[in-house]
Amino acid sequence: MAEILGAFFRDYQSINSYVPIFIFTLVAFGFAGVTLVVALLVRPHRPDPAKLSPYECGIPPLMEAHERFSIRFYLLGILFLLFDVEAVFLFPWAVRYDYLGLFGFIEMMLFIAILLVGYFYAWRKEALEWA
Amino acid sequence: MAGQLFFYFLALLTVAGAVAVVALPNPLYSVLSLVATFLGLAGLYLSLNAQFVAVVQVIVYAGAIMMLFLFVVMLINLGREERQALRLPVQKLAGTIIGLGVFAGLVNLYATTPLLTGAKGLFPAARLAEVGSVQAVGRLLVTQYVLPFQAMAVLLFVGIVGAVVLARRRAR
Amino acid sequence: MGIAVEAVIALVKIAVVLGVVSLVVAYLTYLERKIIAHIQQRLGPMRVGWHGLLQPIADGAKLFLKEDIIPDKADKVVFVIAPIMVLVPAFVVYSVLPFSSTFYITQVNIGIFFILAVSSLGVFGIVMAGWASNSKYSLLGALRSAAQMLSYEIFLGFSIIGPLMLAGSLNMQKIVEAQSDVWFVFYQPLAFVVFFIAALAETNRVPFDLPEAETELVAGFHTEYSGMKFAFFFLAEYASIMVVSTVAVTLFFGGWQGIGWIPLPGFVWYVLKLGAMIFVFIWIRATLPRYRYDQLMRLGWKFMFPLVMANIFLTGLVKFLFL
Repeated sequence: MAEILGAFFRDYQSINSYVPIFIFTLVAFGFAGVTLVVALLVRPHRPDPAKLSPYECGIPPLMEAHERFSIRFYLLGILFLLFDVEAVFLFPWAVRYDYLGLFGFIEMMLFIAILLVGYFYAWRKEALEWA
Repeated sequence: MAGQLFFYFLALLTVAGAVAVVALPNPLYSVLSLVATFLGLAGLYLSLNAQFVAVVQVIVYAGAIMMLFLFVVMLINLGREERQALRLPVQKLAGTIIGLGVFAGLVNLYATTPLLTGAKGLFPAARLAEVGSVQAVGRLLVTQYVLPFQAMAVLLFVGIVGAVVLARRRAR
Repeated sequence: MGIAVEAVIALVKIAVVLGVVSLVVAYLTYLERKIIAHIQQRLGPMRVGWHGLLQPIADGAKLFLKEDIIPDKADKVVFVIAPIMVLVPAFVVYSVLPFSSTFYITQVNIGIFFILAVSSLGVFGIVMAGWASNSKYSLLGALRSAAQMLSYEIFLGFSIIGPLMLAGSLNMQKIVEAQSDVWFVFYQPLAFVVFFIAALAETNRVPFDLPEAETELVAGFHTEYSGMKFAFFFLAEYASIMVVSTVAVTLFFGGWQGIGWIPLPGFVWYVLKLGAMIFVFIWIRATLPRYRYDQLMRLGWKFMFPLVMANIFLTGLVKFLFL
């Protein structure tokens, strides 16, 4: 069975290996769209005010839902951004690690060390606390 | 032929997203449109064989920075009445003139100059396709561009400190 | 002719993968209910078909035919777009997964990097869903989810640096081939532990299922969703579980490579390993209680972050000194 499948889907030399990803994206959007439209045609549609009000454990909603929320989420967003940038630069280094030698290792440890200072600063200033 | 088709599709996505960012009234819609623009840009980078830049475009810009924008928009949470169109006639006029000027300059550059190419680096197109864009970046990052790379670490460090200081002052 | 033929082949493969994934996801829910039931000495679904085997089909049909309610105060456009924005990235990552040595949709030289990038886009859909619903539970669930997924995405990214240093490539197929002698889990046990915990958090699974904590937030970001749009969130969640399990199998357990001399095709090996990984996911759900939010954040930022950093340093040092 696996042989048959393997022969059927044999590796093909593509002009650009990213084209199937592009096609997949279109197909995924198509799948989602078609499913929603077909569901729209077959399902019932009987709205009433109670059904359409936001759920709040059975009582009518008390306040506007879009309240302002804690600044911590914003801080977390920034920390995420900064460490994400760091992570992004680790990938090219990691795949070339074998060719970079001692200098490459020391350079990257220095890079990480500088950011770890920032990390421990954030720790000391209780920016990582959520309680 | 197919390559051109992809290019025009991605270019359309990028430009339409950018127009929508400016034109849509709700800042949240603008954030979403900007994500579409960034994804289009990432596709364009891919078609130029710059896979590393494409992935960074998605992870850092579309993923992280837009998430931050989303938080900001939701944090500020403009009410409907505050969201009315701003009336700034002078700024609008100036913006239009400057925008058209830059566009005219670009068109002029495109029409008059032959194709601009940068200096040939260590990795010309053929070699890049061979070793891969990520590997090439990995090699250059800790050899030729060590100083900018470490400077960026310092920059990120300053970013962390700044964020922590600002958030703490507001939290009190 | 070239590209047209390729496009058709790619389309067929995509159709097969999409169909199989949808079906497997449906039966994953059945398997989950059944396994948890037996761990807790219950029977689980028994009515529809033999031992409830047709239950997922019935569930699917029900979701398809249910009224789809869009709340009055919701932002209607974003409300409809959000589930699509969650579902599409969860599907698109399948395009680079290696199912066997010959069966995959495409292989790119940024494979694992691409997976990280695309799956990071799923958070948008969740936040948009929470915001557009205009309900307190949804918004709270979405914010929690975003904070949790963003945090653990970092640890997930850092944890795969170690295996990548060993593999020397981002291409999924090449990472598998690099493990023909020894699986990376033996070289990188720390990285695997962090990866697995981060994967649980990324997919909003127990013990990190706070975004949908039904006892406090009703259902989190999808409280207001019903019908097919609700099904999309479900589909995306389980599709993501299969993706992270596949990535774990690929990075740490040799992907489709067999053990010793046992003559099984690569695809079978892949399915066996994937099944074992998913079983652990379900097992954990049946066993562990839920974390509190500050505990979750503390675990991530104060424990896993230093751990992955130490792992990168140790991997580099050991590899430099001894290999």
